[in-house]
Amino acid sequence: MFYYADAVAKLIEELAKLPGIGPKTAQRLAFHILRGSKENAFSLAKAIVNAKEKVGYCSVCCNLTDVNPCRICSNPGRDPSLICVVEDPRDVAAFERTKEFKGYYHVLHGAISPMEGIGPDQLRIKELLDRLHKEELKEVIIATNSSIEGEATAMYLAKLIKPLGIKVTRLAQGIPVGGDIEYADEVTLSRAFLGRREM
Amino acid sequence: MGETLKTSAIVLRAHNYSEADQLLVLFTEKMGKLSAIVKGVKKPKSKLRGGVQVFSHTNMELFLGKNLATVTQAEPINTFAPLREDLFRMGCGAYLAELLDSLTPEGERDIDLYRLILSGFHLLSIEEPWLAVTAMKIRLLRQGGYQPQMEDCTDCGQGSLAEKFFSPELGGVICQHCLSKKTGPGIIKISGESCVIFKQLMNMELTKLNRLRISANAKRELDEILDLYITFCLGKKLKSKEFLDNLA
Repeated sequence: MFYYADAVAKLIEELAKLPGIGPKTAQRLAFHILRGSKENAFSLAKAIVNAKEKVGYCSVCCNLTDVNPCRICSNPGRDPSLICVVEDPRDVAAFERTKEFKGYYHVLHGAISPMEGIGPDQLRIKELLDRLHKEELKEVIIATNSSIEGEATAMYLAKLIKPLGIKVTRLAQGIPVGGDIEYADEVTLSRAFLGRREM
Repeated sequence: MGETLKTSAIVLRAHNYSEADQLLVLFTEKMGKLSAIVKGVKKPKSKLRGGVQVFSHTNMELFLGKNLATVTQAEPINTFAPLREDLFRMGCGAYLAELLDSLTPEGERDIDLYRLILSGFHLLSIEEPWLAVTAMKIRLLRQGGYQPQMEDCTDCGQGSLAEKFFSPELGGVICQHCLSKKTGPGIIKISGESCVIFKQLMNMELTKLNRLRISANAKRELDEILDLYITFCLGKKLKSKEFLDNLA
Protein backbone atom coordinates (compact mmCIF):
# COMPACT_ATOMS: atom_id res chain seq x y z
CA MET A 1 0.00 0.00 0.00
CA PHE A 2 1.97 3.01 -1.26
CA TYR A 3 -0.84 5.51 -0.76
CA TYR A 4 -0.29 5.86 2.97
CA ALA A 5 2.69 6.40 5.25
CA ASP A 6 4.15 3.11 6.44
CA ALA A 7 2.86 3.51 9.99
CA VAL A 8 -0.70 4.19 8.79
CA ALA A 9 -0.59 1.29 6.34
CA LYS A 10 0.59 -1.01 9.14
CA LEU A 11 -2.25 0.16 11.40
CA ILE A 12 -4.81 -0.51 8.66
CA GLU A 13 -3.30 -3.92 8.01
CA GLU A 14 -3.47 -4.88 11.69
CA LEU A 15 -7.05 -3.64 12.11
CA ALA A 16 -8.15 -5.55 9.02
CA LYS A 17 -7.11 -8.78 10.73
CA LEU A 18 -9.99 -8.41 13.21
CA PRO A 19 -13.14 -10.46 12.53
CA GLY A 20 -15.86 -8.68 10.56
CA ILE A 21 -13.52 -5.87 9.54
CA GLY A 22 -12.67 -5.47 5.89
CA PRO A 23 -10.11 -3.10 4.32
CA LYS A 24 -12.56 -0.18 4.09
CA THR A 25 -13.68 -0.41 7.70
CA ALA A 26 -10.05 -0.81 8.76
CA GLN A 27 -9.20 2.43 6.95
CA ARG A 28 -12.09 4.24 8.62
CA LEU A 29 -11.03 3.00 12.07
CA ALA A 30 -7.39 3.89 11.46
CA PHE A 31 -8.27 7.45 10.44
CA HIS A 32 -10.61 7.76 13.40
CA ILE A 33 -7.73 6.81 15.70
CA LEU A 34 -5.36 9.24 13.96
CA ARG A 35 -7.85 12.09 14.14
CA GLY A 36 -8.59 11.46 17.84
CA SER A 37 -6.49 12.63 20.77
CA LYS A 38 -3.20 11.02 21.70
CA GLU A 39 -4.66 9.95 25.08
CA ASN A 40 -7.49 8.00 23.44
CA ALA A 41 -5.07 6.18 21.16
CA PHE A 42 -2.74 5.38 24.05
CA SER A 43 -5.57 4.15 26.25
CA LEU A 44 -6.77 1.84 23.44
CA ALA A 45 -3.28 0.43 22.93
CA LYS A 46 -2.81 0.04 26.68
CA ALA A 47 -6.17 -1.73 27.05
CA ILE A 48 -5.20 -4.27 24.38
CA VAL A 49 -1.78 -4.94 25.89
CA ASN A 50 -3.22 -5.13 29.42
CA ALA A 51 -5.96 -7.55 28.43
CA LYS A 52 -3.50 -9.77 26.60
CA GLU A 53 -0.95 -9.76 29.41
CA LYS A 54 -3.17 -10.02 32.46
CA VAL A 55 -6.04 -12.21 31.31
CA GLY A 56 -5.61 -15.95 31.71
CA TYR A 57 -7.74 -18.96 32.57
CA CYS A 58 -9.25 -19.43 36.03
CA SER A 59 -7.71 -22.52 37.63
CA VAL A 60 -11.15 -23.62 38.87
CA CYS A 61 -13.77 -22.84 36.22
CA CYS A 62 -11.50 -22.17 33.18
CA ASN A 63 -13.24 -18.83 32.54
CA LEU A 64 -11.15 -15.90 31.36
CA THR A 65 -9.97 -13.85 34.32
CA ASP A 66 -7.37 -11.35 35.52
CA VAL A 67 -7.32 -12.75 39.08
CA ASN A 68 -6.93 -16.39 39.93
CA PRO A 69 -9.34 -17.90 40.97
CA CYS A 70 -11.83 -15.66 39.19
CA ARG A 71 -14.26 -13.37 40.98
CA ILE A 72 -17.15 -15.83 40.69
CA CYS A 73 -15.14 -18.83 41.94
CA SER A 74 -13.75 -16.87 44.91
CA ASN A 75 -17.19 -15.63 45.97
CA PRO A 76 -18.19 -17.67 49.08
CA GLY A 77 -21.78 -16.44 48.89
CA ARG A 78 -22.68 -18.69 45.97
CA ASP A 79 -24.23 -22.18 46.10
CA PRO A 80 -21.40 -24.75 46.00
CA SER A 81 -23.72 -27.65 45.15
CA LEU A 82 -24.49 -26.34 41.64
CA ILE A 83 -22.30 -26.11 38.56
CA CYS A 84 -23.52 -24.69 35.28
CA VAL A 85 -21.49 -25.92 32.28
CA VAL A 86 -21.27 -23.47 29.36
CA GLU A 87 -19.45 -23.40 26.02
CA ASP A 88 -18.04 -19.89 26.06
CA PRO A 89 -17.07 -17.12 28.53
CA ARG A 90 -19.73 -14.92 26.91
CA ASP A 91 -22.37 -17.41 28.06
CA VAL A 92 -21.29 -16.84 31.69
CA ALA A 93 -21.91 -13.11 31.20
CA ALA A 94 -25.34 -13.86 29.68
CA PHE A 95 -26.35 -15.98 32.70
CA GLU A 96 -24.93 -13.47 35.19
CA ARG A 97 -27.11 -10.75 33.65
CA THR A 98 -30.22 -12.79 34.52
CA LYS A 99 -29.23 -12.77 38.25
CA GLU A 100 -31.16 -16.09 38.52
CA PHE A 101 -28.30 -18.50 38.93
CA LYS A 102 -26.39 -18.55 42.21
CA GLY A 103 -24.10 -21.52 41.68
CA TYR A 104 -20.68 -21.74 40.04
CA TYR A 105 -19.75 -22.15 36.39
CA HIS A 106 -17.48 -24.25 34.25
CA VAL A 107 -16.41 -23.03 30.81
CA LEU A 108 -15.60 -25.68 28.19
CA HIS A 109 -14.22 -23.29 25.55
CA GLY A 110 -15.99 -24.94 22.65
CA ALA A 111 -18.26 -27.86 21.88
CA ILE A 112 -17.77 -31.37 20.54
CA SER A 113 -18.14 -31.29 16.77
CA PRO A 114 -18.05 -34.61 14.89
CA MET A 115 -17.79 -32.81 11.53
CA GLU A 116 -14.99 -30.45 12.48
CA GLY A 117 -13.13 -33.25 14.25
CA ILE A 118 -13.30 -31.44 17.60
CA GLY A 119 -13.28 -34.19 20.20
CA PRO A 120 -13.70 -34.15 23.99
CA ASP A 121 -9.91 -33.93 24.45
CA GLN A 122 -9.83 -30.44 22.97
CA LEU A 123 -12.31 -29.09 25.55
CA ARG A 124 -11.95 -28.44 29.29
CA ILE A 125 -13.78 -31.64 30.20
CA LYS A 126 -10.94 -33.21 32.18
CA GLU A 127 -10.87 -30.14 34.45
CA LEU A 128 -14.64 -30.45 34.96
CA LEU A 129 -14.36 -34.12 35.94
CA ASP A 130 -11.56 -33.30 38.40
CA ARG A 131 -13.85 -30.73 39.98
CA LEU A 132 -16.73 -33.20 40.20
CA HIS A 133 -14.51 -35.68 42.03
CA LYS A 134 -13.21 -33.06 44.47
CA GLU A 135 -16.31 -31.02 45.23
CA GLU A 136 -19.58 -32.02 46.92
CA LEU A 137 -22.17 -31.45 44.21
CA LYS A 138 -25.88 -32.04 43.89
CA GLU A 139 -26.50 -30.96 40.32
CA VAL A 140 -24.69 -30.17 37.09
CA ILE A 141 -26.69 -27.98 34.71
CA ILE A 142 -25.62 -28.40 31.10
CA ALA A 143 -26.18 -25.08 29.36
CA THR A 144 -24.52 -25.72 26.01
CA ASN A 145 -26.12 -24.30 22.86
CA SER A 146 -29.08 -26.04 21.30
CA SER A 147 -27.07 -26.68 18.11
CA ILE A 148 -25.97 -30.12 17.00
CA GLU A 149 -22.55 -29.51 18.60
CA GLY A 150 -24.13 -28.34 21.85
CA GLU A 151 -26.39 -31.42 21.95
CA ALA A 152 -23.44 -33.72 21.27
CA THR A 153 -21.50 -32.11 24.11
CA ALA A 154 -24.49 -32.36 26.47
CA MET A 155 -24.98 -36.06 25.71
CA TYR A 156 -21.31 -36.80 26.13
CA LEU A 157 -21.16 -35.00 29.48
CA ALA A 158 -24.33 -36.67 30.75
CA LYS A 159 -22.82 -40.06 29.89
CA LEU A 160 -19.71 -39.22 31.91
CA ILE A 161 -21.33 -37.50 34.89
CA LYS A 162 -24.40 -39.69 35.59
CA PRO A 163 -22.35 -42.71 36.81
CA LEU A 164 -20.88 -40.42 39.52
CA GLY A 165 -24.33 -40.20 41.11
CA ILE A 166 -24.74 -36.48 40.41
CA LYS A 167 -28.00 -35.13 38.99
CA VAL A 168 -27.51 -33.88 35.42
CA THR A 169 -30.01 -31.41 33.96
CA ARG A 170 -30.32 -29.65 30.61
CA LEU A 171 -31.71 -26.14 30.04
CA ALA A 172 -35.36 -26.04 28.92
CA GLN A 173 -36.15 -25.41 25.26
CA GLY A 174 -39.32 -23.84 23.90
CA ILE A 175 -41.17 -20.63 23.12
CA PRO A 176 -39.10 -17.48 23.74
CA VAL A 177 -40.55 -14.76 26.00
CA GLY A 178 -42.83 -12.51 23.96
CA GLY A 179 -42.77 -15.06 21.13
CA ASP A 180 -45.73 -15.80 18.91
CA ILE A 181 -46.81 -19.45 18.75
CA GLU A 182 -48.02 -19.03 15.16
CA TYR A 183 -44.47 -18.23 14.05
CA ALA A 184 -42.67 -20.82 16.15
CA ASP A 185 -41.18 -23.68 14.16
CA GLU A 186 -42.32 -27.28 14.60
CA VAL A 187 -39.19 -28.44 16.40
CA THR A 188 -39.34 -25.66 18.98
CA LEU A 189 -43.06 -26.26 19.52
CA SER A 190 -42.62 -29.98 20.08
CA ARG A 191 -39.77 -29.30 22.53
CA ALA A 192 -42.01 -26.79 24.29
CA PHE A 193 -44.67 -29.49 24.65
CA LEU A 194 -42.17 -31.95 26.05
CA GLY A 195 -40.86 -29.41 28.56
CA ARG A 196 -44.28 -28.07 29.72
CA ARG A 197 -44.76 -27.56 33.46
CA GLU A 198 -47.66 -27.63 35.85
CA MET A 199 -49.06 -24.26 36.91
CA MET B 1 -28.60 -15.61 -11.60
CA GLY B 2 -30.57 -13.59 -9.13
CA GLU B 3 -33.51 -15.98 -9.23
CA THR B 4 -35.31 -17.92 -6.52
CA LEU B 5 -35.38 -21.67 -6.21
CA LYS B 6 -37.98 -23.70 -4.37
CA THR B 7 -36.70 -27.13 -3.48
CA SER B 8 -36.52 -29.64 -0.71
CA ALA B 9 -33.08 -30.10 0.72
CA ILE B 10 -31.09 -31.93 3.36
CA VAL B 11 -28.78 -29.91 5.58
CA LEU B 12 -25.40 -31.64 5.58
CA ARG B 13 -23.32 -29.19 7.60
CA ALA B 14 -23.46 -25.75 9.15
CA HIS B 15 -20.56 -23.40 9.89
CA ASN B 16 -20.78 -20.21 11.90
CA TYR B 17 -20.40 -17.18 9.71
CA SER B 18 -20.03 -13.61 10.99
CA GLU B 19 -22.01 -12.59 14.07
CA ALA B 20 -25.34 -14.39 13.77
CA ASP B 21 -25.29 -16.08 10.34
CA GLN B 22 -24.50 -19.61 9.28
CA LEU B 23 -23.10 -21.04 6.10
CA LEU B 24 -24.90 -24.26 5.21
CA VAL B 25 -23.94 -27.08 2.90
CA LEU B 26 -27.21 -28.39 1.49
CA PHE B 27 -27.99 -31.34 -0.71
CA THR B 28 -30.97 -30.12 -2.71
CA GLU B 29 -33.40 -32.11 -4.79
CA LYS B 30 -33.19 -29.77 -7.78
CA MET B 31 -29.58 -28.59 -7.83
CA GLY B 32 -27.52 -31.16 -5.94
CA LYS B 33 -24.99 -29.87 -3.46
CA LEU B 34 -25.25 -26.16 -2.77
CA SER B 35 -23.76 -23.72 -0.27
CA ALA B 36 -26.22 -21.25 1.17
CA ILE B 37 -26.08 -18.58 3.79
CA VAL B 38 -28.82 -18.25 6.37
CA LYS B 39 -28.96 -14.85 7.95
CA GLY B 40 -29.59 -14.05 11.59
CA VAL B 41 -30.18 -17.69 12.45
CA LYS B 42 -28.60 -17.36 15.89
CA LYS B 43 -30.91 -14.57 16.95
CA PRO B 44 -33.92 -15.56 19.07
CA LYS B 45 -36.32 -13.99 16.57
CA SER B 46 -35.14 -16.08 13.60
CA LYS B 47 -38.03 -17.87 11.90
CA LEU B 48 -35.73 -20.03 9.82
CA ARG B 49 -33.86 -21.73 12.64
CA GLY B 50 -36.08 -24.80 12.98
CA GLY B 51 -35.68 -25.69 9.33
CA VAL B 52 -31.94 -25.29 8.95
CA GLN B 53 -30.65 -27.59 11.67
CA VAL B 54 -28.05 -30.15 10.57
CA PHE B 55 -29.58 -33.42 9.24
CA SER B 56 -33.00 -31.75 8.68
CA HIS B 57 -35.03 -32.52 5.59
CA THR B 58 -36.58 -29.18 4.73
CA ASN B 59 -38.71 -27.42 2.14
CA MET B 60 -36.68 -24.36 1.25
CA GLU B 61 -36.83 -21.23 -0.78
CA LEU B 62 -33.40 -20.01 -1.82
CA PHE B 63 -32.35 -16.80 -3.47
CA LEU B 64 -29.53 -17.63 -5.87
CA GLY B 65 -27.13 -14.72 -5.71
CA LYS B 66 -23.97 -14.16 -7.72
CA ASN B 67 -21.72 -16.15 -5.39
CA LEU B 68 -23.81 -17.67 -2.67
CA ALA B 69 -27.43 -18.67 -2.24
CA THR B 70 -29.42 -17.20 0.64
CA VAL B 71 -32.10 -19.11 2.49
CA THR B 72 -35.29 -17.05 2.49
CA GLN B 73 -37.76 -19.65 3.75
CA ALA B 74 -37.35 -22.98 5.49
CA GLU B 75 -40.03 -25.34 6.68
CA PRO B 76 -38.87 -28.65 8.17
CA ILE B 77 -40.37 -31.89 6.84
CA ASN B 78 -38.39 -34.23 9.09
CA THR B 79 -35.71 -33.25 11.58
CA PHE B 80 -34.53 -36.84 12.19
CA ALA B 81 -34.72 -36.28 15.95
CA PRO B 82 -33.18 -39.70 16.89
CA LEU B 83 -29.94 -38.55 15.25
CA ARG B 84 -29.72 -35.69 17.73
CA GLU B 85 -30.60 -37.77 20.76
CA ASP B 86 -27.91 -40.44 20.60
CA LEU B 87 -24.23 -39.65 20.40
CA PHE B 88 -23.28 -42.65 18.25
CA ARG B 89 -26.15 -42.11 15.80
CA MET B 90 -25.18 -38.45 15.59
CA GLY B 91 -21.58 -39.42 14.82
CA CYS B 92 -22.79 -41.83 12.12
CA GLY B 93 -25.04 -39.13 10.63
CA ALA B 94 -22.12 -36.70 10.61
CA TYR B 95 -20.01 -39.36 8.89
CA LEU B 96 -22.58 -39.92 6.12
CA ALA B 97 -23.01 -36.17 5.63
CA GLU B 98 -19.26 -35.65 5.43
CA LEU B 99 -18.84 -38.59 3.04
CA LEU B 100 -21.55 -37.25 0.73
CA ASP B 101 -20.07 -33.75 0.93
CA SER B 102 -16.63 -35.09 -0.01
CA LEU B 103 -17.89 -37.33 -2.83
CA THR B 104 -19.96 -34.78 -4.71
CA PRO B 105 -19.14 -31.55 -6.56
CA GLU B 106 -21.33 -28.45 -6.16
CA GLY B 107 -24.31 -27.84 -8.40
CA GLU B 108 -24.70 -31.31 -9.94
CA ARG B 109 -28.24 -32.55 -9.71
CA ASP B 110 -28.46 -36.20 -8.68
CA ILE B 111 -31.92 -37.27 -7.65
CA ASP B 112 -30.83 -40.86 -6.88
CA LEU B 113 -28.18 -39.64 -4.49
CA TYR B 114 -30.71 -37.29 -2.90
CA ARG B 115 -33.13 -40.16 -2.32
CA LEU B 116 -30.30 -42.35 -1.07
CA ILE B 117 -29.11 -39.94 1.63
CA LEU B 118 -32.71 -39.29 2.66
CA SER B 119 -33.38 -43.01 3.12
CA GLY B 120 -29.99 -43.24 4.84
CA PHE B 121 -31.03 -40.76 7.53
CA HIS B 122 -34.39 -42.56 7.88
CA LEU B 123 -32.59 -45.87 8.29
CA LEU B 124 -30.14 -44.41 10.79
CA SER B 125 -33.05 -43.09 12.87
CA ILE B 126 -34.73 -46.47 13.29
CA GLU B 127 -32.18 -49.19 12.63
CA GLU B 128 -29.09 -50.43 14.44
CA PRO B 129 -26.55 -47.66 13.67
CA TRP B 130 -23.67 -49.90 12.52
CA LEU B 131 -25.90 -51.71 10.02
CA ALA B 132 -27.38 -48.46 8.70
CA VAL B 133 -24.11 -46.59 8.37
CA THR B 134 -22.24 -49.50 6.74
CA ALA B 135 -25.01 -50.13 4.19
CA MET B 136 -25.07 -46.41 3.41
CA LYS B 137 -21.28 -46.15 3.06
CA ILE B 138 -21.34 -48.94 0.46
CA ARG B 139 -24.31 -47.47 -1.40
CA LEU B 140 -22.91 -43.91 -1.38
CA LEU B 141 -19.64 -45.23 -2.82
CA ARG B 142 -21.56 -47.10 -5.55
CA GLN B 143 -23.66 -44.05 -6.39
CA GLY B 144 -20.55 -41.85 -6.42
CA GLY B 145 -18.89 -44.18 -8.95
CA TYR B 146 -16.50 -45.91 -6.55
CA GLN B 147 -18.11 -49.35 -6.27
CA PRO B 148 -15.39 -51.86 -5.33
CA GLN B 149 -15.11 -55.14 -7.22
CA MET B 150 -15.81 -57.90 -4.67
CA GLU B 151 -16.27 -60.99 -6.90
CA ASP B 152 -13.38 -61.69 -9.31
CA CYS B 153 -9.73 -60.72 -8.99
CA THR B 154 -9.38 -57.04 -9.90
CA ASP B 155 -5.89 -57.60 -11.27
CA CYS B 156 -6.05 -60.80 -13.37
CA GLY B 157 -9.82 -61.26 -13.63
CA GLN B 158 -9.84 -64.82 -12.26
CA GLY B 159 -13.21 -65.89 -10.84
CA SER B 160 -14.32 -68.14 -7.94
CA LEU B 161 -11.41 -67.27 -5.70
CA ALA B 162 -10.54 -69.56 -2.81
CA GLU B 163 -8.92 -66.77 -0.83
CA LYS B 164 -9.56 -63.07 -1.26
CA PHE B 165 -7.46 -60.04 -0.33
CA PHE B 166 -8.75 -56.47 -0.50
CA SER B 167 -6.61 -53.82 -2.15
CA PRO B 168 -7.84 -50.21 -1.74
CA GLU B 169 -5.50 -49.11 -4.51
CA LEU B 170 -7.01 -51.50 -7.09
CA GLY B 171 -10.53 -50.93 -5.76
CA GLY B 172 -11.44 -54.52 -5.08
CA VAL B 173 -10.36 -58.04 -4.19
CA ILE B 174 -7.31 -59.79 -5.58
CA CYS B 175 -6.34 -63.47 -5.68
CA GLN B 176 -3.48 -65.18 -3.85
CA HIS B 177 -1.40 -65.25 -7.03
CA CYS B 178 -1.70 -61.48 -7.66
CA LEU B 179 -1.07 -60.79 -3.98
CA SER B 180 2.46 -62.19 -4.31
CA LYS B 181 3.16 -59.60 -7.04
CA LYS B 182 1.85 -56.73 -4.94
CA THR B 183 3.83 -55.18 -2.18
CA GLY B 184 2.97 -52.30 0.05
CA PRO B 185 0.67 -51.69 2.97
CA GLY B 186 -3.10 -51.63 3.08
CA ILE B 187 -3.88 -55.05 1.59
CA ILE B 188 -5.95 -57.19 3.96
CA LYS B 189 -7.31 -60.70 3.83
CA ILE B 190 -11.08 -60.78 3.64
CA SER B 191 -13.33 -63.71 4.53
CA GLY B 192 -16.01 -65.17 2.29
CA GLU B 193 -18.65 -64.09 4.83
CA SER B 194 -17.58 -60.45 4.62
CA CYS B 195 -17.84 -60.53 0.81
CA VAL B 196 -21.35 -61.99 0.98
CA ILE B 197 -22.47 -59.47 3.61
CA PHE B 198 -20.94 -56.66 1.54
CA LYS B 199 -23.06 -57.61 -1.47
CA GLN B 200 -26.19 -58.00 0.64
CA LEU B 201 -25.67 -54.59 2.26
CA MET B 202 -25.32 -53.12 -1.22
CA ASN B 203 -28.28 -54.80 -2.91
CA MET B 204 -30.82 -55.84 -0.30
CA GLU B 205 -33.98 -53.83 0.24
CA LEU B 206 -33.23 -51.37 3.05
CA THR B 207 -36.26 -52.46 5.08
CA LYS B 208 -35.01 -56.05 5.15
CA LEU B 209 -31.45 -55.29 6.26
CA ASN B 210 -32.26 -56.11 9.89
CA ARG B 211 -32.69 -59.78 8.93
CA LEU B 212 -28.95 -60.08 8.32
CA ARG B 213 -26.93 -61.93 10.94
CA ILE B 214 -23.37 -60.64 10.90
CA SER B 215 -20.47 -61.99 12.95
CA ALA B 216 -18.19 -59.66 14.92
CA ASN B 217 -15.32 -60.70 12.65
CA ALA B 218 -17.17 -59.70 9.47
CA LYS B 219 -18.11 -56.35 11.06
CA ARG B 220 -14.48 -55.69 11.92
CA GLU B 221 -13.30 -56.67 8.43
CA LEU B 222 -15.92 -54.56 6.66
CA ASP B 223 -15.10 -51.57 8.88
CA GLU B 224 -11.43 -51.97 8.08
CA ILE B 225 -11.73 -52.32 4.29
CA LEU B 226 -14.32 -49.53 3.96
CA ASP B 227 -12.24 -47.18 6.08
CA LEU B 228 -9.11 -47.88 4.01
CA TYR B 229 -10.97 -47.68 0.71
CA ILE B 230 -12.81 -44.43 1.54
CA THR B 231 -9.58 -42.82 2.79
CA PHE B 232 -7.88 -43.92 -0.45
CA CYS B 233 -10.71 -42.67 -2.72
CA LEU B 234 -11.00 -39.28 -1.03
CA GLY B 235 -7.30 -38.84 -0.37
CA LYS B 236 -8.04 -37.83 3.22
CA LYS B 237 -9.36 -39.27 6.45
CA LEU B 238 -12.84 -38.08 7.34
CA LYS B 239 -12.93 -35.99 10.52
CA SER B 240 -16.07 -37.65 11.83
CA LYS B 241 -14.35 -41.03 11.52
CA GLU B 242 -11.88 -39.91 14.18
CA PHE B 243 -14.81 -38.83 16.34
CA LEU B 244 -16.47 -42.25 15.96
CA ASP B 245 -13.18 -44.00 16.75
CA ASN B 246 -12.86 -41.91 19.93
CA LEU B 247 -16.39 -42.87 20.98
CA ALA B 248 -15.73 -46.59 20.67
